[in-house]
Amino acid sequence: MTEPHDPLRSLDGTGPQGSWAGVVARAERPADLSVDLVAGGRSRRPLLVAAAVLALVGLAGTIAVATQAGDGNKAKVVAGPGDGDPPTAIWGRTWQVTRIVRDGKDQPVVPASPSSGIGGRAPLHLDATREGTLAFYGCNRIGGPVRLNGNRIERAEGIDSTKQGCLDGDGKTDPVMYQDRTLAKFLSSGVEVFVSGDELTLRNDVGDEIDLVDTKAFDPPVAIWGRTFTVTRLVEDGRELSPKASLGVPVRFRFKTVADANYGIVDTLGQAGCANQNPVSVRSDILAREIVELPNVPVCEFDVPEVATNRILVTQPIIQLRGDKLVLRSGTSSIEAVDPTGPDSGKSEDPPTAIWGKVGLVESRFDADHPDGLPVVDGSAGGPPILTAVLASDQPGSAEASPVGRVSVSGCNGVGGAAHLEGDVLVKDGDWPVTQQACTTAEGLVEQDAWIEGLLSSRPTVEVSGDRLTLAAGDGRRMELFLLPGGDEPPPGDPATTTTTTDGLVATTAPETTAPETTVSAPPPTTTSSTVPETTVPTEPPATTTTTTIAFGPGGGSADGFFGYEWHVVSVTGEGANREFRGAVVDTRTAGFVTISGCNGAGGAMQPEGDRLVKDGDWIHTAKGCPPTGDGEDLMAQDAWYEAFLTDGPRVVATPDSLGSAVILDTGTATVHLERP
Amino acid sequence: MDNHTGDDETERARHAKPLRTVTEPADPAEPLVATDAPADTQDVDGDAWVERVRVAYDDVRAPLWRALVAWSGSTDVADEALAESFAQLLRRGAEVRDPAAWAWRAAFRLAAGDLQRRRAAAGRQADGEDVMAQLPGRLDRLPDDAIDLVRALARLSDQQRRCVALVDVAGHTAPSAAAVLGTSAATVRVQLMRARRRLRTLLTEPETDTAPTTAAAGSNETEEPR
Repeated sequence: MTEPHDPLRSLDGTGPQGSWAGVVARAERPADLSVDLVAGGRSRRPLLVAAAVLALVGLAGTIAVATQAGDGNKAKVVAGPGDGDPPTAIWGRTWQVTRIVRDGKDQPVVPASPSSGIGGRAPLHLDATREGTLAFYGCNRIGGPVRLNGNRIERAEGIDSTKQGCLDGDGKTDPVMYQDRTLAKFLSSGVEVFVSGDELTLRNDVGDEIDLVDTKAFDPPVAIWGRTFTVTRLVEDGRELSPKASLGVPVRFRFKTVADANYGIVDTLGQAGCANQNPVSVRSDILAREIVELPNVPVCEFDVPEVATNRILVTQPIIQLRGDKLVLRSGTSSIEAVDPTGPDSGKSEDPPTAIWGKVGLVESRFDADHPDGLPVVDGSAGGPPILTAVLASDQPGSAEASPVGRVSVSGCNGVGGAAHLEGDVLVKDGDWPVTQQACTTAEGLVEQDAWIEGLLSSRPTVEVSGDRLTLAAGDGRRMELFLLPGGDEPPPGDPATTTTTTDGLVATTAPETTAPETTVSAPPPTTTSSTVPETTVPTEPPATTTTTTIAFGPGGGSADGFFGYEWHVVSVTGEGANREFRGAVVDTRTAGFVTISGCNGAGGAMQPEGDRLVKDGDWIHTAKGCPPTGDGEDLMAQDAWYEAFLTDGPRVVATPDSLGSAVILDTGTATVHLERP
Repeated sequence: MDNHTGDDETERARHAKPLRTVTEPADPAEPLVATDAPADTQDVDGDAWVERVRVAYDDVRAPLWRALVAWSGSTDVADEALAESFAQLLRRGAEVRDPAAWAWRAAFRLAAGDLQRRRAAAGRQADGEDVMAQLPGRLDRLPDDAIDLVRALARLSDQQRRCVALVDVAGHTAPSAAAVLGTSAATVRVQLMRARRRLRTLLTEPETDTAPTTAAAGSNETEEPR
């Protein structure tokens, strides 16, 4: 009996035109460079034929003789003749390239190729150790004898170049080879030398510029340990990425030592749902200052900036650390970061009252038995626990001087209430209400909640320094938080003062009389009527707020009442939906961020556009496997269905009688009815 | 060239076994496709490496090529990406843990780059979707029903087409397809569910409706309507 034809198998029986012999022949051809390659590559088989870097050779004898050509420079000049060191200060030093400007634009600074044969990985550098000879080391050694005429480099006998071919890890031409050509052309176009202390600038007649720093001026790589850096610029494979993490805050990474000065953990902060710790070691000598990847490093594969940061961190980037500024370079990828509390930051400690109005992400916690740190478990909302500290709204005087406010933390459960400062000691006022949510998806989260509450109850000292907050008890317990930028400012255009809901969200209080359309009741639980838009919060200490407008946190956006809660699915209809999908939890307690818990936690930034929810970037997932049960429950299918549902940008529809306690999400083909428990 | 190899069942069984027996890897870098290669890859000499790549080539050439055709809509692009991926493997050397898995990932990247170049050469805007409209006449080596399939696939979104190409055409499991695509297995399943639903419609429509080319060019027809 003939099986019915499956159109999806229509390609069965077809095949490629080429053969294995063709593949081998292709492999033995030069790589796709416009110039030939010299023998190279990692294979011991002579797969690549010898060739030459013709473009570089062709430049021999062309280094420019000094002229008095017009300036034409459009890039910055570190120093000029007469206001810096003499040009001869270039000699006797090795200079590391930190910036290349060509045609007025910054170019990636590609490190030397590991296959260049000049001693393994190294930053792109200029060897000027021997007076009268300059040479860049990228893939090839490019340079030769020169002499200085004033501050201009004059060629002696032309540019020499070795004729090495360099391949990258994918077997493609290493981008450093293209950079070599740029450098050769640069040197041949008439170069002026400006030295100022540890900095060197080379500028040619058309205004292209290369900035360099004496390699001895960099801090040793071991100086990274114990420090947290905030990413200010992120470039992956030549593509500029936002330095903001999926939670909307800057990506940060912290280097923690584990065993010795050369081995530790790099902990990428700001991401949710992905393994974010990578073991690293560092190696340092005068030219090789690099992070050395250890095997089997887990890297999430979702395309969000913090994961891109991780990807670069594990590609053995070269370390350039100077004071509070860190640059990591690997190929055409780079991370520029700053340590806000570093030696050059100039930041001093802020008064303890600077805590008010802040929202902080818990980054690390310690106790006497764990001086290297206890794990920080992501909250049920998908990110690190969030601490909110706000000034009591009825407190007269400025926020900076006030000792009285309220503090709350959301991890699995929300806990918070009134507190005040006695000097730099934070003191709880009375008992704080605690929500009673059970969180089974994240191991240790409930215990972490208790640990944090215990710390807050122990009259911890408060230390605020820039974007860092440290709460420390006298017994060795300590918690460090990253304070979100702008957390002390009310939303633009809203004259209200900041206060908080009990689950840790920042909210703004508005006079009752304003009663904006977007107002919603403050959780939990609300006891409003259909005619009086007033909220009471029975579990709170004396309520200071009446009507609140939920303000989006890091994600930004306008209020619509959907965010700020944990919603339970009570019904689901539509194509592909399974009635067993009821019971899923959609958590929006972190404003601007939606997570779904089924088999896996999945979540990401979502923004309101009118009455629709729109995904903002990729989702982040845990990666647990949950086989279907005999009862027809398939949590993985449920995860996928809800993600697809939310990806479709559902409309948020409030039910007329729900008073904000229930909503319907509707895509047109499927609906999900949510209620607050 | 004989596109029908004449020994379909043997060939299919040859690649189907390793693909179907793969379990979801804990680490995306783990092998996706079993090969006969020795486990220790760190110190093989050049000849051994070439032999490993050859074995991988024999294992995956047909399913990989079909997946590339299904996704790109061009036999030329598939030929080029297949050959170049394995040529790069030979150049790269023995540090690659699993040549076949590497080739799956690399071939799709190479095909994407090739398509971009071809589109640029044709002076068209690269929208990543409407490959069929931009590569007319590149399917003449295929039987009619395969051409119908490829044309229908061209009406899907890029991601849906990739999922169908890897799972339904090439025989990957959802987790192994996810590893190739750098996404989650759940996402693959969702995309597959939608893609198959749309394909059912497309493949049963009258011929005029499934002709993709100019109708889909520059339009949003590649996305499934909700």
